[in-house]
Amino acid sequence: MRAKIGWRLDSELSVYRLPLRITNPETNEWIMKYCLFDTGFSGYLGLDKETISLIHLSETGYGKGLVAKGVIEYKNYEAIVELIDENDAIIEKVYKIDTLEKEDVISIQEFDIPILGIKIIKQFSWLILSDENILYLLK
Amino acid sequence: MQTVQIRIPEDLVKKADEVIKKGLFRSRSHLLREALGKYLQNLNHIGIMPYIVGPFTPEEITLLKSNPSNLLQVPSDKLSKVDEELKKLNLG
Repeated sequence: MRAKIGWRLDSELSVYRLPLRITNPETNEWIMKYCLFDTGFSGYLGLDKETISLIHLSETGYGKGLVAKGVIEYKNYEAIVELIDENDAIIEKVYKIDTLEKEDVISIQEFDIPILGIKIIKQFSWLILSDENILYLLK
Repeated sequence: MQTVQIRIPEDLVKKADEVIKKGLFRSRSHLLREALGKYLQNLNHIGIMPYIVGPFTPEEITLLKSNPSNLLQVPSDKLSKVDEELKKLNLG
């Protein structure tokens, strides 16, 4: 296994944030967004309202979930998502994992912040070196 | 079909009756069946956060919505050092 790419801890927030290209599958409009790396979020990707409206993602439904502060309701959208580097080159494509066929359009949830969840994280291998505060994507 | 007795706020019943009066639904049951069916069809449970994220301050949320001011990607020469360490671990 080799380190394909690495990202430093965001010193302003003390979190890992990874750059993703999010593409509207209907219009091909896309945006690059740094998303919070969060293994505690059980979905694919959460995006804030502003980002969703910038690339005009179409609403596909809604969901409800029980969190510490009670029941929350969220809107669902769909998009193509890729991990990219600083030159906008694709590092890895993300796939839908809860269907039999390999699909590249994944479900997005509307949240307050851009957040990358376990359904994307577990598609790849990672290494965190604590003394360097760097998160590596392995291949 | 099963009969279910439910309690609904008065203002919702009023609104429902107005729609039924317009002839869009045959009865309250018809409206509720259709509304519930459509709601459940669009209800997708994708993923949740079992905690309150952060808690981040409003300023931090603004930062999280925008891209970082510093470059986060590490230079490629650093990757080769990690590769050497990985080789020692023999991860395959």
